[in-house]
Amino acid sequence: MANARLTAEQTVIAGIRLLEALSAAPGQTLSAQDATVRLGIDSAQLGQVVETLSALSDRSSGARAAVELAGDRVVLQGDAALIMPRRFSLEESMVLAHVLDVLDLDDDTRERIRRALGPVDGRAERPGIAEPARYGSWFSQLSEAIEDGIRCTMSYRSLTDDTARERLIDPLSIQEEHGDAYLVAWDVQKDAERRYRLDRISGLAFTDESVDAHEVGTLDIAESLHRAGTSTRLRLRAGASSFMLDWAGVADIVRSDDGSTEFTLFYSSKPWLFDQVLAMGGDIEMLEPAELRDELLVYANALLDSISNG
Amino acid sequence: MLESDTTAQPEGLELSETALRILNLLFILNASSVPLTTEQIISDADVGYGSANRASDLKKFKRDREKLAERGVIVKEIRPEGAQRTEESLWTIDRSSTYASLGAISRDDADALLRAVDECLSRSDIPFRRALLDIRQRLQTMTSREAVPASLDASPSHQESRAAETLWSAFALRRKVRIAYIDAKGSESQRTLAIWGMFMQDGHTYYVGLDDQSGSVRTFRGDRIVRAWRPTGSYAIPSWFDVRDYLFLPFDLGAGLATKVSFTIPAAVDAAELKALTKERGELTCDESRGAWVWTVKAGDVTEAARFALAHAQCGMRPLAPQKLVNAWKACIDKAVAAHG
Repeated sequence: MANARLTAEQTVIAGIRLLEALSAAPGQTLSAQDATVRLGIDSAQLGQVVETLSALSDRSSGARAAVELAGDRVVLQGDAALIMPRRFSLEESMVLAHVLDVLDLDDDTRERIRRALGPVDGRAERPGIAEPARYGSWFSQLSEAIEDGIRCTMSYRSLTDDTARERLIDPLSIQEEHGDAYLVAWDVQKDAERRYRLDRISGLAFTDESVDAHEVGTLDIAESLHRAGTSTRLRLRAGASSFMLDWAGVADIVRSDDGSTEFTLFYSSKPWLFDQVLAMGGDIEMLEPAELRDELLVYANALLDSISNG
Repeated sequence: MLESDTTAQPEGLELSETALRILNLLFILNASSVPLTTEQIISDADVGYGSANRASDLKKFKRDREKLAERGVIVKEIRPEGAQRTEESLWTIDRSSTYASLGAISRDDADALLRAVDECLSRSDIPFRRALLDIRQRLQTMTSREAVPASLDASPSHQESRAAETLWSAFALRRKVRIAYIDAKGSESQRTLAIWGMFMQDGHTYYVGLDDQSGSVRTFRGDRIVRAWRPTGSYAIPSWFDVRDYLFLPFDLGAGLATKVSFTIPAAVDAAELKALTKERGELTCDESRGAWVWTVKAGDVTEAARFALAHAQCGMRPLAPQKLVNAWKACIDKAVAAHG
């Protein structure tokens, strides 16, 4: 179904963008389909924009904006309506500043981009948009390595490490799960696919080698946890907060008549699992395996000791 | 595809004339090799001025300049040195403020920027998707890059409500906006909001701003704003305001006064992980005698703060003070141990 006719403001926005795109296009022409995609409008709305632009004229010079739809193409004739690409508007600069901020691009890159494209008065340096940090400090380099197939050395501190240690990896992709961002990579020494939380990466360097071809899994985190196969059966007490049922590794949920809920949880880190169980303060019980219950008690005592001795 | 504004009137002759006049102003100023006088512009009926009411045309000209400025086109006034106040102004496009410095952005920088924009576009929880697509398409125009991948080119009208688009527009242009809001208890109210900032957390967008009904700065969850009217009336955001202070922690809410609580975090924990853990709230100091970071933050619910510390114990986080926090942390462990005893 066709969208409504564009408002005056939308016509102005689309009109400027179309002139910009036509000015930059070879021969000052674009396919109508390309133009609708670029402007985010439908073909009827494109007709409205072209009609408006074709009516632009300058009485003193006699110049007019010769924009027309010729078959399935939009064409700009002559030089009168050519415009250079604009700097980003305040709105776009706010978004851009946030993107650069949240992905933690380095200060020099930010400054070069801001100088080339941002408002000259430096507005929008504080965009007023926020979100919890999730990408760490290496997103830019990692995404370049993924795009170009570069093998990397990475300094990473896992949950079981006291300090970061070096790994040789082939970066594959970046995934998100419940507000955290993960690098999916091939651990070359372990010859296996692994996931690394981006905010735990403390160093990254490109090697001179290219990545090998791997049987790359397209599994999401839940599927990956299930495949790893380490699981426990848990029971959530009636009336307890049930946010953990949204976790990626949860399966086989069974609700009982007494209001309690039993479920299987696939996990990759025992300390993480124990912490979540302890943080529930008795609202959740680990049913099996039995040896994991014993390990939980040992872990809990060690935690209590750490605070007594700390 | 674009949808009409939430409160837009049906498209009529007047709206078309407005668009035509603003675009014509851009066209004549862009095409002219010399600045144009005020008289040349506002007497030009072909542009869309030239009515019998000069004062009205001058106001339209001012509004049109402001509209172009919102789109990044800066029309500047030139007054020759020594000109009398009575002499009319000259107008031209401020090219250095309006147009990008071509060649100033390297291929590497453009690539880095495109990858960052694409990462944000791949997420579904971004309320300013249209602006991101615009940025990408402008970069594409400047660098002759490939079109937006189809996987990223979801139409914002399918992903965002009309209210969200209006709220974003109001915030970007610093215009007050009247909203209909349904709170957690299901009560609906109408209020006018000057949006000072917005944040995304746990899959929701939150708007923080000065609320006329309470006279205070409040946070509103986006999906509970069921209607937004046409933004109107400008405002300024105080320089001291920082929306990052509003990113929430699970122990923020609680009855009574908030308590200052402190935790230790091993010094080996990297800055990026600290940022993710603390949401950059509170105060973080390095305690060399303990070989640890000390994070102090206000907690509305001390028991929840203890649970938070336990949930992050694997990274070395421990409760430090007050004793009430440490006791709550120990009690939580004791209860869990009892459940497994």
